[in-house]
Amino acid sequence: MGIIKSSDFYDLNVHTLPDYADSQSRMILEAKDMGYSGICLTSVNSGNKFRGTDITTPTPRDFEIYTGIEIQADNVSKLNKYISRSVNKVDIISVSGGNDDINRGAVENGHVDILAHPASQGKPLNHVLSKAAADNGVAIDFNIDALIRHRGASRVRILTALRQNARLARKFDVPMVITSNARSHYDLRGPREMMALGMLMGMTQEEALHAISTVSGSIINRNRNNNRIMDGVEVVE
Amino acid sequence: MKILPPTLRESNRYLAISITSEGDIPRRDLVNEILFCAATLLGDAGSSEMGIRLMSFEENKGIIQCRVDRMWETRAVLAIVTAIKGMRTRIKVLGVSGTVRGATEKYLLTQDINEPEPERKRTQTIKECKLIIDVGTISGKIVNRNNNEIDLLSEDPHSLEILNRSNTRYFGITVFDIKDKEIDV
Repeated sequence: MGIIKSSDFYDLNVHTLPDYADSQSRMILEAKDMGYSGICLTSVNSGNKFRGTDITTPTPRDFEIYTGIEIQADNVSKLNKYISRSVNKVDIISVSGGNDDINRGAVENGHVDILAHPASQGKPLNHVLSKAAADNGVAIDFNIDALIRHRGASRVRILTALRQNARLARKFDVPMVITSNARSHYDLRGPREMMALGMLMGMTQEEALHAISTVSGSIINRNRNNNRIMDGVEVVE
Repeated sequence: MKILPPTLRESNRYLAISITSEGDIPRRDLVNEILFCAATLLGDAGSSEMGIRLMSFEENKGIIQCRVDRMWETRAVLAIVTAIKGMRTRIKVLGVSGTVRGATEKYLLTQDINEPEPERKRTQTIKECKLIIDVGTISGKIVNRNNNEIDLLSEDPHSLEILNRSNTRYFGITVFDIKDKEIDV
């Protein structure tokens, strides 16, 4: 258990006002209280407009705030347009998945960091998409709100799909992240609860731990590092 | 009937929990909801192996008993709880211990070591407030206040749409969002 205690936890998909009902400072206070070391405030709206942070809270100690956008698109060409528009403006670019075409467009684009809720329509990723995600360094999201918000048959379908995603991600070495996709502070869960739900989605305890700490942390480091030009190219002094 | 000797008893863990909710939650409703969630998530057979019991519950804090080897499942069940009797609820696990006394002493009796609020003059007591966001304003009544956190009830159609989308009753804001105002509810 010592390793869990000494880890830093991040939640990379949290929605706030004006898209959803909680203000940014409220989410930050609640997440800090839950034991996170950082959260990503993600704008999600029909216009795919990035709303910057306007944080009125005195920033808590040992707590980092990142900005992100969750891109929603109907087709792949629009998706690529929105992605190229957001590059370098935000810390984390995620794509709202679910639809097969969009999932494919997202994992094949190297600028995307996270493919959010890929199984929201109950369809798992296949081996082609998993391989593409591994090649382009796109993390697959395991959103716990699928388990929290759905009941009955739809939850079973999504859980089955998520299990297959986890199995393929393990085989092809795709980065996995667990996010809350929170729409209000009632959707936030503590890091260990996220791990417990991740384990229900077919991860091992270690994978679940890495999914909310080291994998998320490395995505942030990758994007915050100004010396990095692209995959494999970095300015060294 | 003789009780089981200690060596033959199942060994347990005790989870200290605290509850955040839109309203007051009676003990009975909480127990029912947790057991219901266990049954929907893991089935009757699974939940019979976990041995979930609510040991004590007062002032939104309590202790839950479960089997040692089913701790992660129990955490998952507690995380699944979203609403009790239509009121949004969140259960937070404060910590785990091997004895009831340990859990109580370590996690329930400790007081929040928040820095004391600096002395300041209360200028005004407000019951309503207005929030300016970049797509318009949200104005409403202040319903609850807990330290720096405020719940805001708003009834105009645009706000209701946002609330519906996020499936809550109140807007969650903080005192820092309201400028130059002291709040006393």
